[in-house]
Amino acid sequence: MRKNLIILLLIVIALTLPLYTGVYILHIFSSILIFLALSLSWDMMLRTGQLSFGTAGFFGLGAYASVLIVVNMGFNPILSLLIGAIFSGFIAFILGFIVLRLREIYFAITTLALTHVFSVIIRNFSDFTGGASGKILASAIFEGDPVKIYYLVLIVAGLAIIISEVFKRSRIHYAINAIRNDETTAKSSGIDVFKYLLFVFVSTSALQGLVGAVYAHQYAFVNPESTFSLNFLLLPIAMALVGGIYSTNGPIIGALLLGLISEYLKLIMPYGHLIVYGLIIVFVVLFLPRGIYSTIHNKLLKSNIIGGDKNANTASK
Amino acid sequence: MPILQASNILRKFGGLVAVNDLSFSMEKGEILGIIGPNGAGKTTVINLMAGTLGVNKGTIEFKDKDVTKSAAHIRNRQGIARTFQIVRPLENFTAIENIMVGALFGKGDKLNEARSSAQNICNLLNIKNVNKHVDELTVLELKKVELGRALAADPEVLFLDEIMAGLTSDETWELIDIVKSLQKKDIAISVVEHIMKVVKELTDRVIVLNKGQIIAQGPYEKVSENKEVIAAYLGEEE
Repeated sequence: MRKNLIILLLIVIALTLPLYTGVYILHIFSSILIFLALSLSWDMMLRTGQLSFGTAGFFGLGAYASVLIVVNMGFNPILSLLIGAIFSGFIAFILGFIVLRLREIYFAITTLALTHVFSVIIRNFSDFTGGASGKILASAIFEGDPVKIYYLVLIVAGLAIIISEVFKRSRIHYAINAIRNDETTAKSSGIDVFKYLLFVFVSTSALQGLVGAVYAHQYAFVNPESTFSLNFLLLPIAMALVGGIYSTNGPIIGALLLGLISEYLKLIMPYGHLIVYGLIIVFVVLFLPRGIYSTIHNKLLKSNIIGGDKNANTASK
Repeated sequence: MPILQASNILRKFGGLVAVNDLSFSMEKGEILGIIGPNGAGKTTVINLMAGTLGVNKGTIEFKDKDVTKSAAHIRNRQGIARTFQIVRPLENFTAIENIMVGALFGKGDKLNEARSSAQNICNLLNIKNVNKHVDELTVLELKKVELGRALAADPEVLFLDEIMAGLTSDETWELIDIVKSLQKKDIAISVVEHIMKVVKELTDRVIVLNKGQIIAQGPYEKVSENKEVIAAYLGEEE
């Protein structure tokens, strides 16, 4: 009951934020929500047991697909966001048949290499992609209106949260948890391991593509250097680790916490904030290896302050 | 007519022939024992029948359909289920959730159906701590969860790989009674066992494997007196 109240309150705050804050705060939250969605998408793949380092790659592919289709073919920008998602998902579908045969570190390294391959290909198709200097849009989406952009990003983050919860509450949860646990058992219990891995890989990549497309239209440009930046991989991972993996709440808490802290640190020590940021991550991973959400949640469960939430409990195991 | 028919199965691991020209069949409502010394290929036979491993040669027919090339998850959905010698519970699930996995994917239950199917199986197997995580369960409970997950798929053929190993005498008898009750449901059951008391009590017929080949078959009483079988277990007389 109290939990639902908190969720409702957060939704109301998120929806009404533009009414009482300025452009600067809206900008910060837009950026946090972008990383929140990426963090969730990375975590959803991790729930299958596969550590993907391809987040930045599919983010970049979506960004490029949606910008190029607007610049080169005059597409509607809103529609182009969907194209970005579909394109990333489509590429993931094709590559999935190869990379999803791999496991553990081999999967991780290959997805990281793919990110680099994507950016090299784009750099070399300069006639179509603008090469190393990238492409600039005539204008940011919604003529750069920060309120509309905030709501767009909020929708995308909301979508990520909904997908994550659907994953947790449906048979997908049982399939991917079983696969992460023991693939042999999963197979002998009737689970089509490859089908589920492919489904999750494609849907999270499509989500990453959508986020990339929104991000590119928010800043009105793409270039290989910054669009495929490893920030779009490392920050989401850090957020999920800090907040707590295998859950919806963990990445949300991690993204809000690290996003706000890093913004605050930037103000008080313009060049030193990354050091403190790094220390926080080291501290959390060392002392709260389950992440903040799971640690606090388990403490509360043990002291019976809140009722049992089976999924969250399962997730922290 | 047999529900499962394996014909001329060959499986090699590198240079080692684990299963060689093996043929056997299973009937509805029959408990078949698979015995033999260590390394005889008993677990490999289960792996091959359940699709955990592929065969190099030979065919496997289930309900008159060739399933030799079918993947493990397909065979499970069609009705061939198994347990593992070393229990392989899904560690981030509770006891009942482990069994639900079998119902969800092996049988194709919907989420709400799966919970009640799993609860029924817990009742059948007398699993009380349904909401405990598997790391809190006893050996017997783990074995039951393992069996429950296989049963939840609603199998017609069930392979039990040393399900009694590591249990006390009382616990063993409890499981023997459970397996016998499954036999009455017309499931074709095959048990791999080292404990001869269990084999004697449970099986209608046994096949004895040595070095991947059948060296004897028939009722336990007959087979246990077979010279070749005794030699395989104890070594040849000088």
